[in-house]
Order: sequence, then C-alpha cells, then structure tokens
Amino acid sequence: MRYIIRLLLVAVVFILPATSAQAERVLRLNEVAVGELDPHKALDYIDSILLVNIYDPLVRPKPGGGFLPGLAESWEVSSDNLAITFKLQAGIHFHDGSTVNADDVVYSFDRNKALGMGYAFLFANSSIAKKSDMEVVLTLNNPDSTILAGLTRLGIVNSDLVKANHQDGDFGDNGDYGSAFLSAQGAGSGAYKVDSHNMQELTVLSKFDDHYGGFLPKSPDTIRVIYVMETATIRTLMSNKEHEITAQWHPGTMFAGLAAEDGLGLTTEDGIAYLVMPIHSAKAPTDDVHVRRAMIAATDYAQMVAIEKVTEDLTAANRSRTALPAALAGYDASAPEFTQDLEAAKAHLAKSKYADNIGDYEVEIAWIAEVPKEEKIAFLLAHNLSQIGMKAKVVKVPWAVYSDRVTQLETTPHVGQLYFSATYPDPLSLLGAYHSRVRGSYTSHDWMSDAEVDRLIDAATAEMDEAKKNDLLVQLQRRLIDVGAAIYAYETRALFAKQDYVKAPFLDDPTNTVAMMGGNWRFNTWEVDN
Amino acid sequence: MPTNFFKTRNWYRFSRNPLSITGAVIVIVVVFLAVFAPYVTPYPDHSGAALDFANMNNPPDSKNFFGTDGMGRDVFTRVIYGYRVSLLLGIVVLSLAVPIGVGLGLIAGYYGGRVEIVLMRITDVFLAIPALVLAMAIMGFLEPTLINAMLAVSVMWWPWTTRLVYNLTRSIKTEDYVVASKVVGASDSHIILFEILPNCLPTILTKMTLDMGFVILVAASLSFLGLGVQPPTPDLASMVADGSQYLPDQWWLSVFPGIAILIVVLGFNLLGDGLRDMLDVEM
Amino acid sequence: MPLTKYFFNRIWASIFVLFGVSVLIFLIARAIPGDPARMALGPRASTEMVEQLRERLHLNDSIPVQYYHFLRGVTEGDLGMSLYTKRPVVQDLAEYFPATFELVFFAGLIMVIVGIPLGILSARHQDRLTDNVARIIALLGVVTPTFVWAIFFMLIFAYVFDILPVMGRLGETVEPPPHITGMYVFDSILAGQWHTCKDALLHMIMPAAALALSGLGQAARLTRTNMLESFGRPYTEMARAYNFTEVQTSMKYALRPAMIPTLTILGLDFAVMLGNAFLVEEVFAWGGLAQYCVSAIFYKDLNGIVGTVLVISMFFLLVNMVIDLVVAYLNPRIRLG
Repeated sequence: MRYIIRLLLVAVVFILPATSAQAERVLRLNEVAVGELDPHKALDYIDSILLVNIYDPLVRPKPGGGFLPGLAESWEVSSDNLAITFKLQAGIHFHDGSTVNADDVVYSFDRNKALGMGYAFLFANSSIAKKSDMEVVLTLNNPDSTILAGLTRLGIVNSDLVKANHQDGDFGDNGDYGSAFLSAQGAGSGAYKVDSHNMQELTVLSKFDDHYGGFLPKSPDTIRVIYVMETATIRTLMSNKEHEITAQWHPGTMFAGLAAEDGLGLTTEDGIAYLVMPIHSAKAPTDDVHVRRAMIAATDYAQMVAIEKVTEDLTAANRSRTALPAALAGYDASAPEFTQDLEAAKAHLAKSKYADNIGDYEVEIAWIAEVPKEEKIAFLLAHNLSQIGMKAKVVKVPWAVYSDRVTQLETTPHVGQLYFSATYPDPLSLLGAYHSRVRGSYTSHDWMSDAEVDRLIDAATAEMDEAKKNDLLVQLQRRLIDVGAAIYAYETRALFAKQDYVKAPFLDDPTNTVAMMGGNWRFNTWEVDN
Repeated sequence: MPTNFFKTRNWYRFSRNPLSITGAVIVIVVVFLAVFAPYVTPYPDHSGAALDFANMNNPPDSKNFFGTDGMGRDVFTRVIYGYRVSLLLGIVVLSLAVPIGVGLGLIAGYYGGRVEIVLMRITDVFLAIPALVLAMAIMGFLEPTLINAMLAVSVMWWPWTTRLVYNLTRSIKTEDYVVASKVVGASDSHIILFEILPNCLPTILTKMTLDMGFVILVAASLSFLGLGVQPPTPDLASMVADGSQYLPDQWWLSVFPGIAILIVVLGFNLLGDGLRDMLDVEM
Repeated sequence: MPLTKYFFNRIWASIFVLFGVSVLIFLIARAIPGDPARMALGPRASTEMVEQLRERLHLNDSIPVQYYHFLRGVTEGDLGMSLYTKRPVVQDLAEYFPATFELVFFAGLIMVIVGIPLGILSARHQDRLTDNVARIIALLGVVTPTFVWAIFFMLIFAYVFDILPVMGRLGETVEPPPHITGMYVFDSILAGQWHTCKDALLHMIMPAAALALSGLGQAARLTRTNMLESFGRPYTEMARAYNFTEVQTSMKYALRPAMIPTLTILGLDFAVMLGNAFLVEEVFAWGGLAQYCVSAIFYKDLNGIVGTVLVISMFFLLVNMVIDLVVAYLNPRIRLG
C-alpha cells in the first residue's frame, strides 16, 4: 500500500508544474562544499551530519555526557581497562536488507585505520577482533578514556557490499578499500539512505523505513543538502520558503535580516565551541608568562561578545569562564567569568622582564581572510593591548598560508584565532590539543611545553572513572589559564535561521545537546511540521 | 602639444562630443580627490584601523552619506581613499603590461615563421594557466605588498594584449599600403612603427581603457588571496567583494564602491573614445 | 600553406604547449603555500597520518621523480587522487566539465548575439543618442564584477519578483535527463524531454547572462572601435563610391575586418570563463569545473589543480586554433603559418 501511495505521489509530482507544493516532508539545508560521504574520511560539519544520518556507530553520545547503545546493545570493559567487548544488537539491517554483524564492525575499524583519514588518529593505539558473529573485542595498548567517544564517529559500513566494489588501489588485497564506491554511494544502516550525491552541488537522502531507531511522526521523508554559502542565494530561498534551515557560517547581518521575516526564526546550538586566541609562548615578548597574563587581563571580553550581537534579543556568543565550553563534561563552572581588568594587566606587565621596553616589541595578531569577523576581533585586541602600552600589528592571512605558518615556531604569529569545537564527545577533543607532543598545527600553536599540563592530560586520558577524570580536567583548565596558554575570548553559539515549522530536540531544549560535531543533526529526531 | 592645440581640428573633434569632455572631467576630478584625500574626506583616520562599535553598519545619513561599515568606519572616506590604491594599480599595471604585450604581438605578427611560433606558443602557455593559480603561486614567493601585486597582475596581463595585437598585425600587414612600402624598400622597423602600429592604436586604446576596469576588479581576488594591499587599507574592488556578502540588507557597503569604480572606468573609457576619434581624424 | 599541413603543425605545437603547461603548473602548484597532506587530513590529524599520506602521494620524492609518476599516470589515463574530493581527478573532471561547459557555451552565445550587434549599432550611429546609450550599457557590463551581476539578478528576478528559479541546474522535482554529454540542455533535447529542457534553460538564464556581461561589453566596445576604423579606410570609401547601400557597406567591408580583434578577445574570454565562472557557480550552486578549480587551489589539491588546468588549456588551445582560422577566413590574404 505504502509503495502504491509513493508511486502515486511521484506520478503527481511529475504531472504538476515545478512550483507545486511538496507532498512529502522535505528538509532542505545548505552547507559548505564538499560533502564527504565516506564515513571514514568525514571531517567537517557537513561530513558529520551525513555520517550520523547514513551510518550507525557502535555507541552514541548521551546529552550531558556518557553513552547510549548504538549498534552495540551493551559493552563491557575489562578490569585492566585494556579490552572492551561489544555485543551487537540482533536484527539490525543495512539499507540493502543484509544484517549487521561482527565482520562489518571489524572491517570498518580496519578500513578507517588503513585509510589514515578522518578520525583515524583516535584509533592509533587500539585494534579490533571478532569474538563471535555478534561480538567484537577492542584491545588497547594503554587505558584510554576517550575511546568510546571516538567510536561514536566510526560509521559501520556493509562490508560485503563494499568488498564487492573494491577497485585497484594502494591497499594491496583491499585495492582502493572501496574509496571510489563509498565516495559516491551509501552502504550504511542509518536512518537515511543516499538517493543521489554530487559533492559540490547537492546530496539527496531519503528515509530508511527499516531503521532500528524509528522515526517521529513528522520526521522528514527527504533531506536535500545544497552546497551553497552565498548569502543572497540562501536569503532568497528562505524568504521564498524553498529552504528549511541555513548553515551557521553566514554573516550575522543575514540572520538579522531573516529574523525580521514572518515564519522564520533564529536558533542556536550552544556550548560545544569557543573562540580561542592562542598566545605564542616561545617568542619575545610573549615568552614571558607575565606578558601573557597581562594580555589575558587586558582583553575586553564584554566587547568581544558584543561583536557577535545579531539582534536586540540575540547575541551569538556567551561570556567564557574557563578553557572549555559549557556543554562538555568536566567544565569548571565555578570559575569566574573572564573580565577586563586594565590595572591588573598593567601590574602583570610590570612584573615581566620586558617591563621597561615593551614598547620596542610589536605583537602580531593574525586573522584568517576567510572569516571576516576575525578582523574586528583582531583590531579590538590590538586596541586593548595599546591600552596597557603594548604595540600590536594586525595581519590578514589566508587559511592555506595560516595552516602552513603555524607548523613552524618562527612563523607562528604571537596571537592566532581558532574557532574550536568538540568534534567527538569528550573534553579531551579540545584540551588534548595542549599536549606538548602535538604542537605545530592549526589546533595547537601556542608552542607551550609545560610538564604539568602534559601530566594532567595524560592522567585524564588514562582515568576511566568519570568523577576522577573530571577533577583532573578542572585542574587542567586552571593550569592552562595560569600559564597563559590562550585568551578564551568567548563561547560561540552556532546560529541558524530556520522555518518555524522545523523542530529538533536540541533546538527546543538545550539540555538535549550532545557535545559532538553533527551529533545533534540526526534527522529522525527532527520534525518538519508544514 | 602645439600651442594652438585648442584651435586644431583634433580639439574640435574631441570637444564636439559632450561625452569625451565628460570623460576628461571625471578623470581629472577623481585623480584630484584621490591625491587630496586627507583634505576632502570627513574622517581621514577611517582609512585605517579605526573601530567604532557605537556606529557599526549604519545606513547612509547626513553624518555618513555612504553609511558606515562593520567596524563603524565612514564608507565615503574609504571610497575616496580606495581610489588611491585602485587608480595606482590600474595605471602601473597597464603601463607595464601593454608595451610588452604590444611589442611582442607586433614582432610575432609581422615576422611570422619561427619567431611567431616561439612567441605565440609561450603566450599560449601563460594564457592557459588560470590567473588565480598564477597569482597564488607568485604569492608563495613574494611578500604581500602593493608593488608585488602590480607585478603579479602585469605577468597575468601582457598575453592578452599580445594576442590581440598579433592578430591585428597579421591582418594589417596584408594591406596594400604596407605591402607597397615594403616594395619601396622601407625597413622592417619603419613599417612596424610607422605603418602597422598606428593602425593598431585605436584598438589598443579601446582595450586599454576597458582593461582599466578589469585591473581594478582583479585587485579584489588578489586581496582575497592575501596578495596586494592589506586591510585596513581600502581598495574599491575588495570593498565591493567583501560588501556583497551583506546584500541585500547592508547594500551601501558594496553599492557605493561599485558606483565609484563605474564612474572612474566610465571616465577613462569616454576619454579613450575621444582620443580615438582624434586619432581617426589624423589618419 | 594547405589547411591539413596547418592543422598538423598547429596540433604538433599544441602538444608542446601542453607539455610546457604541465611542467609549469606542476611546479606552480607545488609553490603554493601549505602542506597538501596536512590540508587534506584536517587540523587534528597526527603527524604519522600526515607522513603516511605524503608517502602515498610521493610528496617526499624530488620534483622530477614526482613528475615522472605523474606522466606515467597520464599515459594510463590516470591523473591521481584529488585531495579535495578524495576521489580520482578524472572522475571529478568528467562530472564537472560538462556543467561548466554548458554554462560557458550559453554565455558565449549571449556575448556574440548581443555584444556584436550592440557594437555595430553604436558605430553606425556614432556620437548620437543610440551610440551613447549602447556605450554606457557596454561599460556597465565591463566595470561590474560578474558575481555582483549574479547577485543583482538573483535579488531582482528571484527575491523581489520570484519569476526565475533561484539556483541549481534543474528544479527539485525534475529528474536529470539520461547521461549522454552531461549537459542537461543538450541531453534533454537528445532524449526528447522538452519539459526538462525548458526547466534547464530557465535555470540557465541568470547565470549565463551574468557571466556574459563583461565579455558582451568588450565585444561591443571593440566592434565599435574597429568598425569606425574601417569606415575611414579606402576600400570602404570605394564601396560607398560604387553606390553600395550603407548596410551592405557596413556588413561586407567594415564589419569583416572589424571582427578580427573582437573575435580574438572573445576567443580568449570564452576559454578563460571556464576558470573564471567560479563566483557565478558559487552564487547559483552550479557544481562545475571553475568552482572545483578554485577549491583545489585553496585546498592545495595538487592533482586537482594540474588536472583542471590541463583541461582548461586544452580547451583554450582548441578555441584559439579555431579563432586563428576564422581570422584567416575573414582576411583571406593572411598566410597561415
């Protein structure tokens, strides 16, 4: 019966002119090209959205911390914390109807590691083996409290289907490991299956009725992702009601314009990202901790937040109080908000070895050409520094150059800008970047080497007890602020404009937010009520 | 220029068309404004990194008649200062690229044979590589300064003129008067400089005045790539490019700089047409 | 020189040019700042992952060795893997070239059928109102950046009046035609799907018009200049003296030679649009080659850059060859060499 109705709908759609009303529930969104369909190469926001809808992981993140069953109905950690046994749920089907089993999990894990792309670095110290048809054992070299969080990003693919589509390639017997196939088609068990995919233009997903997680009564039938970021285009589509929800990367003025229109509203995803301005700790004059503390105290945090003001009622930023955004476990909620204190800043500066000649140095503040609002932030900070007698030079750097410059100590600017968000649901997704082992990249270019910071990160990574881990994390945050690793300018509130008839759990109630990039965009939990 | 220029037929031809006069006036006024920018703009310090959070994104009013930008700066001031960079870029690039392009095009078109093959295939190589790729690579070697930006654009520009002049020369050299002067025994350099070049001039002039517009616009992509003038120094094309993301709500950010480009390029083209008409009479 | 020999020589020379382009672009791509492996793997990738990928891409070898690997791939029809789309470059090119070619084709058509008549009109009514209006239209086309036209058209025809589709190559409910050339307008005609064809053409109007305007302005301006030039020439005077009508004179004796510079520039423009259409493609969500090329540059996708540049060069050489032939046809006294 259902198929007949579908068929009729399709027929009607063909007969009616293109402007006719949609008979299906469609959710249309836009994002930055390209959309990466391969779950084991997925990196960015849109890749993550596609991942969580097309593929299922072993475990899913729980709002507020912890994990929920995914393909695994239960898991058991060994007493030495070096092995985790996952028991798979019986009777879960891939989109082609075949059953999910242990071979698929092993294949997916090995594939991700072998490709060495996406989030493969999370699995560097672990391996996986099949125990029975429905059981797998994950073995770790060292205890790792982030491994479950990492597994939320491992999409399980249909191994038989992918193997049947291996082509020639660099991976020996595995050929190309199905790279060509998975970049164009889906092979998952997720709530939505891939109808068509053009990674620069459009991806169309449709409901997989057999999904184990089920759907809400008004969940979208079809998802259309368009890869357009042009403000005028999205503005026009939203006004014409030809688009349901925007990307978060548009200028604030566009959101303000849309907020004023009927039937449209703004909504935010809070607490999983922040603006960090790492301070170079190995180059004069910021190699002196007192100078760094002075800079942190001199920053006008209230004005930083005000830059993100969109409308009278909405500002796309919150004041920050520590080295983590609020939705992550271990957040140091007792810390006071960062506040500008010029007297304290001058006092810090007076204690530094550059107290007498600070005016001889020019502090370089970089902003990334592709993110225009960073210009304002850079100039504001330059102004704040001038208030305590420091000289600053603002430089515009294209992303490609920036990511290159920060790999070398000498070429890294004194102050950078980094919109940093939790990609997997663990605070170490953000705080791990401060380990001296991983210096010299976009996410880590303060060139800090502090033994205490390293020790706390290692201890928190090895600590499987949640309360003890959070305690270590709080110590870590305090230490980072004390050594002046960065200016934590504000917490970002990812801002979206949407039609009023779109409903999603995290949009209505912030406590439903999971601290994982794309994790809130599982469309079977959304509703399109038009 | 002869002392009785204003009584010549040329001047008559030039002044008969009000558009040519308009063109000359526009160019003079714009150059004047650019040179004396600090004295004619209401907020000269807004040409730099001024920040005024109280006046961000204000629409045009009596205080800022082109409105203010995202950092609270007066758009009118920045447009006038923008003329400085944009005009300089256009003039320098064209005076570098056009002579090179014309010279090579004349030689390749006139001599033909091996000279043509070598010169024109090299031109093809340069034309075939997208300008953006070339600029990006140049950026790998050079500091992002205005001078380097001028060099980069000139490197991108000469092949266009070369191809244009090459095809013109190939055609002109078959004309009877050229063939005739060859028969009479005129030297190659005489034919190239006094027979062919003057006949190419009107086209070159038209293309040059058009290119003035294109060069000013190309600065926007260079600036975006991090080459050329750096913020907070304003240039018109980047103002249009950056401002266009705020359409339609903050229209003044892109529309006024856009009109400013339009006016100056219009001026140069009308002036160019007037000069072209003068040349026409002379021949 | 006979035509076949001319073609033979030209194609022979083209191979050398392509070789030159490939060497140059190979070097240039590597001069662009940034580590390609690091860019592809994202900011959080570990040093080991980056090193592993560099090894697989032969990035640790010397440039001549890298070029050897590249040439060997080319002989097998393989341009390597794109780090931007993470799939074979050949597959990307096959998908994106037709989309952009179709767009550029229609833009070129508009340039010729609007630009040249506009120039003729201007020249024939020199210094009169028609001329002045036509010149201003042409200049507006030249001085306004293409993407501003794109946004402007969109705001007028989709936002304010909502009469043309906002973006994309086809409407949401329209199925793409069967894949023959990859160009929707032509494929739908070949398949006889008139509804699809109409939809594809409607989607074509705004992007093609926006893209065409700057070339259209140039064509009009150059046509005007050169026609005025020809009007003053002995042969045109002669034609007038022989009592040819004014229209005959302009068409036969003034227009033909006047077309040489116009066509030269149009030919260049046509090829350059393949790479320059990216902002229009971005505005109208037109998944094409130009967007791909620019993204490849920004992601420092070495193979992607080399692949697109080679395609654009080939197209470019072809167009220029045709233009040189047409120039020779317009002035039969030119010797092909």
